[in-house]
Amino acid sequence: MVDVRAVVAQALGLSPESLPENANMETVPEWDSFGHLSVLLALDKVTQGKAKGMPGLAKATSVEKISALLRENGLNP
Amino acid sequence: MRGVPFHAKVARLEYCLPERVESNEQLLQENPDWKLEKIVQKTGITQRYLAAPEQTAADLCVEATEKLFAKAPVDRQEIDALLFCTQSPDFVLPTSACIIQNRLGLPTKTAAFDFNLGCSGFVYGLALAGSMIEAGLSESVLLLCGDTYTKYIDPHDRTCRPIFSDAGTATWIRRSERPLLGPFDLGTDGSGYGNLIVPNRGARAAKNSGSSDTALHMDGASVFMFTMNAVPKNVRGLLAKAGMEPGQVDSFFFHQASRVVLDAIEQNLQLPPEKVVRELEDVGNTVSSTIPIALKRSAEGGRLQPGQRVLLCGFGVGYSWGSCLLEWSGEESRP
Repeated sequence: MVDVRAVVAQALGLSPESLPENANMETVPEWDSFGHLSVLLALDKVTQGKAKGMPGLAKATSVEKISALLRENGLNP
Repeated sequence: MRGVPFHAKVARLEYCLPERVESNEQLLQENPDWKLEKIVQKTGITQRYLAAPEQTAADLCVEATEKLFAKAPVDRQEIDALLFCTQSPDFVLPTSACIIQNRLGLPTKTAAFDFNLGCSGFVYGLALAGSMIEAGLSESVLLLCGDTYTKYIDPHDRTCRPIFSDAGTATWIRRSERPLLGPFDLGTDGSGYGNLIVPNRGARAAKNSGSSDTALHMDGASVFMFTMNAVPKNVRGLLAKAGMEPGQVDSFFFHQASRVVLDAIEQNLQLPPEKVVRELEDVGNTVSSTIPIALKRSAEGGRLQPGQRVLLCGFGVGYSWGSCLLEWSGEESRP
């Protein structure tokens, strides 16, 4: 089970507690276009290379959207 | 490759950078809200070269070619093909390569044409030149790669402006007694065309008439994901085709997209960092010129030695990608 909030927070150099449940690129200053690359890399690592094959992940710019995509792709029950 | 009567080799390379240099500090002055340290951490680029307003990719390539002619033992009358890879042509028509043929004083027997590719262009150009030589169509080919993307970039575009830089390169490819170039593995996925695009400058722009947006647009995250997917597969496919293991390759020359991209490829393929060439900090992402510039600098710096087998891999806009193996034979120069 991937804790998306924790993965995103760590990728952005933040503590998970400081990241709201509904965090997204619009509301988190650290989550800019360059920060998003770190998020994508971290997600790929934690899913053992499966995330990069998920269509739509690059455009998933919120914890909620990423979680939904992982669920749809059977990576998060 | 075996069984063909002719073979091809890279005989010499040169490159030309514009005079104007743009530092990251200048970027920050114009865009004080940008977090420069973070940008450099991801891009690995500290400065870029910008073509002058009247200077084109063809100009840069002509200058690179004149440098090449000054150093190489080649009579320009021997050149029988000129291939120009650019996405910044002088005109929509005629073909820039035709204009360059005349400017360089190449003979009228020269076959000259442009091909429109970006960061995969150098590898595609080698494939074209090598195929023409192997087919007996050519003996001495000039492959020019050049672009002036900076002219397409919005000054406040934080994704594109810290990365792209202008350059022109010239590569002389000639007949060889033994195979030194290949095999190749090329690929395309046009479904990603909209993720790196200048949308309003071609014939399709008519549907967007009224828009004043003629800038380059890049969805960096989507292009990054494409790279992470396509490049490792492409490299593994090439090595399988060649019957080689990664350890048998002396150096890997990937398109110098940005530090984060090179890091991701290196990690994914589990390559030793010392084998992955990095030449982007002071020159930026020069599109189809990054690989020839890296080859030239490596040859000049002694890192690239005759007899070494290197892997070249370009990827990007299109999406388009390609890789090949090259045995470096050293640069031919005037005695």
